[in-house]
Formats: sequence, structure tokens, C-alpha cells
Amino acid sequence: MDLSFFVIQTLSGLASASSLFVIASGLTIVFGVTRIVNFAHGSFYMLGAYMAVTIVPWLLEFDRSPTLFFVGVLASALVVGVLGVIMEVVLLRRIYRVPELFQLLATFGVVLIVQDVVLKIWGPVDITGPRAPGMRHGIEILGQRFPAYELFLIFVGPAVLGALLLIMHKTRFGVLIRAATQDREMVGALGVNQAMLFTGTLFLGAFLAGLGGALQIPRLPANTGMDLSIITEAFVVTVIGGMGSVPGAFIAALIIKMLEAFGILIFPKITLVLVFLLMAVVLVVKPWGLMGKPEVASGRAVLPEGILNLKGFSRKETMVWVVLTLALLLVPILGDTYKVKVGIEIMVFALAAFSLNLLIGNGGIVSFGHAAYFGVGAYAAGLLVTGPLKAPMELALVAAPLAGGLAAALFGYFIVRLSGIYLAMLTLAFAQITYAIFFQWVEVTGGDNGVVGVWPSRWAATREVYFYVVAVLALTSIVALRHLFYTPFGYTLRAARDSANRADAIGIDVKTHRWLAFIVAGAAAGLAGGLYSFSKGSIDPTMISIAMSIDFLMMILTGGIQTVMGPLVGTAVFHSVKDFFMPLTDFWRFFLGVSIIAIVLIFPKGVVGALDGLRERLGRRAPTPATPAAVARETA
Amino acid sequence: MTAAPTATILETRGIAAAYGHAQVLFGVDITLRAGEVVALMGRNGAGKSTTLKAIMGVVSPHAGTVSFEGQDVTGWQPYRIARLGIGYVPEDRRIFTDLTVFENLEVGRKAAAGAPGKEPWSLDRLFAIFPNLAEMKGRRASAMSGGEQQMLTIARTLMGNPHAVLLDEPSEGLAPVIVEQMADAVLAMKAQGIAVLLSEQNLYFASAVSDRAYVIEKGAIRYEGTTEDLEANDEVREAYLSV
Repeated sequence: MDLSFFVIQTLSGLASASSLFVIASGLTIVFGVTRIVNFAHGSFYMLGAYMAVTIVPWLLEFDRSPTLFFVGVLASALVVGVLGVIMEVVLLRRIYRVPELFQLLATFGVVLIVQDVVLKIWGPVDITGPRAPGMRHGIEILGQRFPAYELFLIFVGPAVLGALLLIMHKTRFGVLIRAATQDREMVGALGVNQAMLFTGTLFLGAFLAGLGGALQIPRLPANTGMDLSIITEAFVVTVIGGMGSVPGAFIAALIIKMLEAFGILIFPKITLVLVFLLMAVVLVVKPWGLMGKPEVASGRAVLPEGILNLKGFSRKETMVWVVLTLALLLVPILGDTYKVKVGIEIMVFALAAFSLNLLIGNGGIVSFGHAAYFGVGAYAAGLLVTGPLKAPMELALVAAPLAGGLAAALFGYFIVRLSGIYLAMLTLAFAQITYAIFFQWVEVTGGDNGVVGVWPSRWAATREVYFYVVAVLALTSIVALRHLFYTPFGYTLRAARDSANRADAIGIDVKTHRWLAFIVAGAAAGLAGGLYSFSKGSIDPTMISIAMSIDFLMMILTGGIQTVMGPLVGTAVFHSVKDFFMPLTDFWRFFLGVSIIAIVLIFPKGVVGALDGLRERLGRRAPTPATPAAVARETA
Repeated sequence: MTAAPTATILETRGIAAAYGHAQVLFGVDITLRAGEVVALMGRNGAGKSTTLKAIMGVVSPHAGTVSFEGQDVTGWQPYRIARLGIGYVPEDRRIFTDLTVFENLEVGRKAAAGAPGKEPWSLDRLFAIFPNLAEMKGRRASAMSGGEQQMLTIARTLMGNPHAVLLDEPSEGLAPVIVEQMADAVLAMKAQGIAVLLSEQNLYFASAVSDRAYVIEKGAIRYEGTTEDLEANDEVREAYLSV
């Protein structure tokens, strides 16, 4: 490796790190104060780019000067900052006290809404921005040409870091932000209006995201995939750096981008794996990131409450489920092809959702990336059947849960070492890495197009027979999983969910139990994925996407995470509605986003939970007076 | 230790509060007059802290009223109550340990509420009362001892120019020499005309600084009187305060 090459690689690494830091710093500041992991931060970044490709060319028509270019960039960032304020006032203000799972979902609802709005305003075609006047040339460095704009970007990151440190330490607003990062309630009790503080923080965060996006336009066309591609990177940076720490984000962005710049020389295709390894190592050694503090992340409920009521079925309920199962089994005989297809999909997704609720409702392990195991199962089955092995369906359906379980064992090993929001973000990051691997490994996986020709064995080739294949495998798996809830293993998981410390203190190996649960859930999701690939006849990366993980979460939320059987009801409702409405509208994502937010705000306990609540409210109107003993326990 | 009874500054009437389904306060009546120091005595779990939190709005009472300087503040957000002139010192201190001493004071700084009658608190005036803090202005609060943190939390509250201060268990877990300093701090506040409502388990501390005392048990006031009377009343002390 000669020196000039080394220098150029370093410089491009620094430029990328600098850009990434500008975005991630906003995410980490917003998290520090509001404790909300803002999925929509990526949307702000994308909006910043779209604003800039709209505003900057308009300004440059007056005068092609560098000044007007940067005026345009700053104006774009300001507009996005105002959008952040709107989001705070309209949505976030209402969800500061709800569990993290709901906050993540609600901000993801915003992501979906913004995606459709951007599509509507700017259309699906990438928009190339103007290059920065005065910085269009290259600069000769050791005989190599290096773009002047990249060189400029290298200085933006440290400048933003400096400005943020000044704000944080030298202004009252900054001191209040740092105080609120540690203890918001106390800041309020000292007379600080938190609402203003939070609104200001959202402005700053969204401004930084918008600035990051606007600065990208000379190097990257504005496109509709920017939001989700950047948010994963920004998550990784904030997790490695320590959530809430601005200097931590700076260091993490540097490490990651330098690793990528040089990792590409060693493993040209799999720099992502390096990032994954780095994150895993950092989180195992320092579970709260390089410069994070435990108290920032802990002390908050991720879930409102998981499954509490574990009564077995009454005779009536047993009857209902038997009747429902029989009715389901009659679908291929009585229904048309469409109903058979929907029936298969509902059973497949029900299995995946049910396995997810083993983790969430029963274990308190909020997985935001369950699609990873579903997708690994689907790809394992699909690639076995279509690949050089030409394996039969039977073998593929054995391999699918094994692959899902293996992936869950590998990722889960790291995931169960964390808790709360760090855990949720790590599950998401692993899912995105899985997605990226299958997406980029084109020779084997077919990349974006996926692989077609994943058909069942001859005996199961008709939809009707395949329906029964799915029915037998999915329903027995669900029954087996349900049985787990009632075994000592299920009790142990719930004990660990309610208090990991106390469970630990009475001799329960919390990590190992959670890991086992993770593997079981991953295997079940893998089987579901395998079954799904044969029903579609193909595999493609949407099966591993964030959207898929969110669908699973929506299914269990629609049903209610507090109930054992809720996820099944939720899957049936959610999938039927989706399958019915999606072809009717171009704005499916918009409506899905609105529904997610509505569920979070109005029905946080899901359909089944809402029915239970209604029954309770009708049953007794006044709250029961507390016993003195209970009083004594609660007060401090 | 007798103060001329003057206008009521803070008053609770029948406040009830609960954490979820567990009710903690069952109608608490407390009156604090301008410039006096009143102790709220009771055992662990009797409802002392919850009473202070309910006044401050940190816990919202589901029944009863809290009024401050004639204004009904029931159900207000804590920051609005604080701005009206109530300072709150929680029992676990809740210092911002990532911030320096100076920055902690800055978070507490706010203009005096109401008529600008008195001179607002300045760093110089605070440092005259808490000389230790002056020496460690730039130090991170995490590097302070428990006693120093306790002084800082009071100084931080005074920076907000309160007319009344709620002190939650000020002597708890402190070395005797620091407890003495705390007593001096309470008396210094009183000398400045600030009314103080403090929750206490330590009768010695309470009687050293307070004019009157309430005794709370199971979420209701069981006794009210001067601290001298309480010290003399073995029956009440036996029933509600002895461990």
C-alpha cells in the first residue's frame, strides 16, 4: 500500500465520519433529553436533502456563489428544524410517559407518513443536487486528486462538535439540556418549563439531521431510501458512542468510518460485518457504549406490563378455539384460492408473531428485528431448494428453523447482555445487518430481486395441500410455544422480565434463560419464514426489512401484548386489513403510519386488551380502596 | 423559637394521593405561615415525602386542594408551582452529578416571583452561607461528598428565590457535623424570611429548627402543635414516632 493511497483512504474516511457525526449528534441529543429514540431522525435527514435540492438551485439562479449555496443549506436545515418542532408539539409531547416500545413505534409511524409525503411531493425519481460553487475542483494530494468538497466536509464535523460543546457548556439552554439528560423531573421542580426545553431540543436535533442531509446533495442525489439507510448507521453510532453523549458519537463515527475505509481493503464486500463485530465487542465490554452512562438508559419501563393473566382456557374458550381451528381447516374445502392464500399467510405470520410475543409479552425482551430470523429461515429454505443442492422442500423446512435458531443464537448471545432501549436498538441493528448482507450478496441471494422458483414438493404443489402442510406445522408450533408459557421456563422468563435483579438474586441465570428464549423464538420465526417462502414461490429482501419487523410488532400490538392468544387475533385482524386495503390505495404507508400512531395513543393495550379494559370498567366503577399494608409498601 | 403568627403562605386541605391503586394520603391538612419553620414528622411510609411531592405537583393529588399565597395551585405542573415561589429539595438530593457546582446553581436560577421586595439571591450571598461551595465552584458534583451535595441542593433551590421551601428529610444519612450545618442552613433561610416545611424522623433536628410540628401516620395528620409540646407529649411520640 503506497502512502498516497493511504492518505486518500484516510481523508475519505474522515469526510464520511464527519457527515455521519453531524446526523448522529442530533439523534443522541434528542435521546438524551427526551429519552425517545427517534426513528424519524432519518426522515429529517432525508427531508434536509430534498429541501436542499429544491432551495439551493433556486438560490443559485440569482448568483452562483458559495455564500448562497450555504445560505440554501442552512435554510433547508432550519425548515427541517421547524418540522422537528411540529413533531414535538403534535406527537412527542403526548408520548413522553409511554413505554419505549410505543415511542419507537410511534416515531416509526412518522417515518412511514413522511415516506409517502415525500413521494407525493418530489416523486419517485432521484433528484441530483447542484455541486457547491467554488468547491467543484479536485485538490492534488501526493499525486492523487481529492474533491475539494470532501475536504470541506472533513472540517464540518469538528466545527459542529465545537459548536455543540460550546452550546452545552456555555449557554443556559445547554446546561439545562445536560441537567435534563440526567434528571428531567428535578429540572421541572426547579422551575424550568420542560415543554420549552424539549421543543428546543427537537429543533436542535432536527436541524442537525437536516443539515446533515442538505450537506450531502453535492455527493448524493436525494432519494426515497435515504431515511432508513442513514438511521441504522446513526443508531449504530449512538449505541457505540453511548446514548446521549455527543463526544461519544464523534468518536464512534470516526472509528466506524475509518474501519470501513480500510476494512474495504481486507474484506471488500463485508465491511458491514466489521462494523457489526465492533459494535458487538464494544457492547460486551461497555454495555452502555464508549461514553454512555447507565442511568440514562435504565429506570424506565420498556413495556407497560407484559402478560400477567395466565389463566388456562375455560371450557368456553377451549370451545371457541377448537371451533375457530376447525373453521380454519375448512377454508381450502369451502373457500376460493384467494381465501386459501390469505389463510396460509395468516397462519405463517401468526407463528412469527406468537414467537415474538414469547420474547416481548412473556420475556420483556423487546425485539425490533424479528424479521431477521424470519428472513434467515426464508432464505435458508429458498436457497437450499433453488441452489446447487436442489434440496427437496422437506429438507428445506427442517433447515429453516435451524437457520433461524442459529442466527438467533449468534445475535442473541450479544443481545441478552443488554437491556431496555440498548437491547431494542441492538436487535434492530442486527436485523439491518442481516438485511444488508442478503441485499448485497448478489451472486448468491439475487440481491434486490431475490430468487424465484421456491416451490413445494410435487405432493404438496397445490395450494390446498400446501395449506394443510402449513396448518400442521404452524399450528403445532404455536401449541408447543403456548405450552412454554405455562412451564417453569415460562415462569422464569416472566420473573426475569419483572425484575432481572431479583430473579438473579434468587439464583436464576437470567441471561441463559433469555438466550434460550431468543433461540426458540428465532427458530419458530425461521420456520415461519421457510413456510412463507414456499407459499410465495420466491424470496426477496422485503422479508428481512424493518417494515416486516414492524408488521410483526403491529400484529402483537393489535392483539395486545398482555395476552397469550392476543397475537393470533392481532395477526388475523392486521393481515386481513392490510391485504384488503393495500391494493386500494397508493398511500398505504401513510395510513399504516397514522394507524400505528393512533394505536399507540388510543389503544396501547390492543384489541383484546381494550376489550378486557372495557369489561373491567363496566364491572366496577370506583377504584378499590387500598389496604394500609399496601400503602406502607408503596410509600417511601 | 417563636415567630409572630402571620399570613398563611401555604395551605393544603384534604389532599389525597395514590400510586396506582395504592392510596397513600387520605386527606392531609397542613398550614404554613410566612417566615415559620414547620416539621412534618412520621415514620417511614407514613406519607411525608408524598405530602411534599403532592404540594410540589410531582405527584398529583386526586382530591383536596393546595393553595400558595392565596392561589389555588392544585394540579399545576411542578415548574409552574416552582415559578410561583416554592422551592423543593428532594430527599435523595438529586444533584446533577455530570454538572459542575456552578452549573447546578445555574439550573436553579430564576427570577424572584411576585413583587421584587427582597434582594434576589446571588452567588456571593449563597457562598457567604455555604463557604465550602465557593471553593469548589468548578468541581463536578459527582466528586462531592454527601454532605456537600446536601448543601448544594439547598443552595440550588435558593437560586430560584423561593418564598417557601419544602425540605424532604434534610438530616437523613448525614454525619452529625453535617446535620449541624443543615440546621444552620435552615435557620439561615428562616432569617431571610423564607418559610420552610421539612419532613423529618429525627425529633432532635426538628425541634432544633422548627416552630411547630405535624405528625403524620398512615396518610393523615394525627397531631399538631409546637415542637416543645410534641417533645413533652410521650403518648404521641410513643404512638407515631418511636420505631
